[in-house]
Amino acid sequence: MNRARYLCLCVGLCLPSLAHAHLVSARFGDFYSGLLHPLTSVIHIVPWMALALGNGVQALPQARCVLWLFPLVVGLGVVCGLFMPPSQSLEFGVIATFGVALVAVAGRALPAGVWVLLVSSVGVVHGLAHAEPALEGRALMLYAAGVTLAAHWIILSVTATTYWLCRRWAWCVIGVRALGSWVLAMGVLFGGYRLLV
Amino acid sequence: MRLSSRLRLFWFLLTLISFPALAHTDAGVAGGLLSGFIHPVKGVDHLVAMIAVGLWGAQLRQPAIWLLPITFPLVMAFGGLAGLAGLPLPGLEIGIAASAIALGLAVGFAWRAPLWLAGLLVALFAVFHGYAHGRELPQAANPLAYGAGFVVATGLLHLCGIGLGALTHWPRGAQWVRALGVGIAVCGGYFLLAAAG
Repeated sequence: MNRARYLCLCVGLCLPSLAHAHLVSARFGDFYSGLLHPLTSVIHIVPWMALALGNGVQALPQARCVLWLFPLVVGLGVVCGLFMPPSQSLEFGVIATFGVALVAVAGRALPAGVWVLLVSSVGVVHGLAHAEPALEGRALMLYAAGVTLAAHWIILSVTATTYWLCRRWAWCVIGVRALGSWVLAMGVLFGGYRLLV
Repeated sequence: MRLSSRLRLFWFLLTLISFPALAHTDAGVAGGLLSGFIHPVKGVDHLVAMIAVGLWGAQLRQPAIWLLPITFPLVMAFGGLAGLAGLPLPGLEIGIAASAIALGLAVGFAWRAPLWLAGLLVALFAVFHGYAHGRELPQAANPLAYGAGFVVATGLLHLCGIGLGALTHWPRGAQWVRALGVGIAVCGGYFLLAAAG
């Protein structure tokens, strides 16, 4: 029996399949491209995580609302970005979104309207920044769906973790504040670098 | 013959603990992140001061335990901006050494400073540390990744300090923490002598 298992393992190891490292050339390549773009870019993923941290300390109705609102606004921004001329100021807009970490530093819930407005603004800026003018039709929809799913995944996972931890252990709010201060510091440094160097 | 086989074993073990050469440490996002992360850890003058901030915060308890580690990276970022902009800051190395001495002595004597004064001192020293990091930022391949690396490393070192500071809940542990503070102050003295030439 043992020998049979070893034999199966050996045969399995001898039958490697292709790695498909370049998913862009596959059928859903644009989807994967959209999915991975924000996840592999520090300038996008860090403010998104800060936003999710801030969302985790909001009241439950607002936090739930943002779980679908943010990805939706990001997706719309990606599509709308096609119809807008490329702008250098968009990068500074993205850097400014690091400021959303102030909510995490404060560790307090904001009024519902203010929070929704803030999240929408951040979503629009990041959506526009993700726009790929070269894409159109089905490719664009796949790409936008990928970016939207990435936004939903980040917001959902970090918000859920933060919300759950902060409701159980009060000291987790300290962690949220500290992480928020790290994000703010990164934003100050990067913004300063872009302006000064 | 016996010695020879031991020698072979020794050489074999040596090859197992070899480190990668890392000839191009600043290349790309990963390189920028790594070099930024290593910078405060590799520089012992930074390392001891960051740990002292955490230790002092733990000694002072709430709210200093979270206020000091939040203040430090935020102000450090502005110090980094000053370094980026090339603003003159005389006595940089002396300031960093002084931070280790002052914070080490504060821990060593378990100084119950008022919160505003503790925050002010930590913020003042953070400027020196941030300036030193900021001066090296333009050389990194990816500035945001470099900034993220050293901010995260700084925060984690504070966390180490807070973790060690948890020993203050036991009488013998509190003595150990104070001894650690004195050790940090001695390190600072050494750095001061080295900076003074």
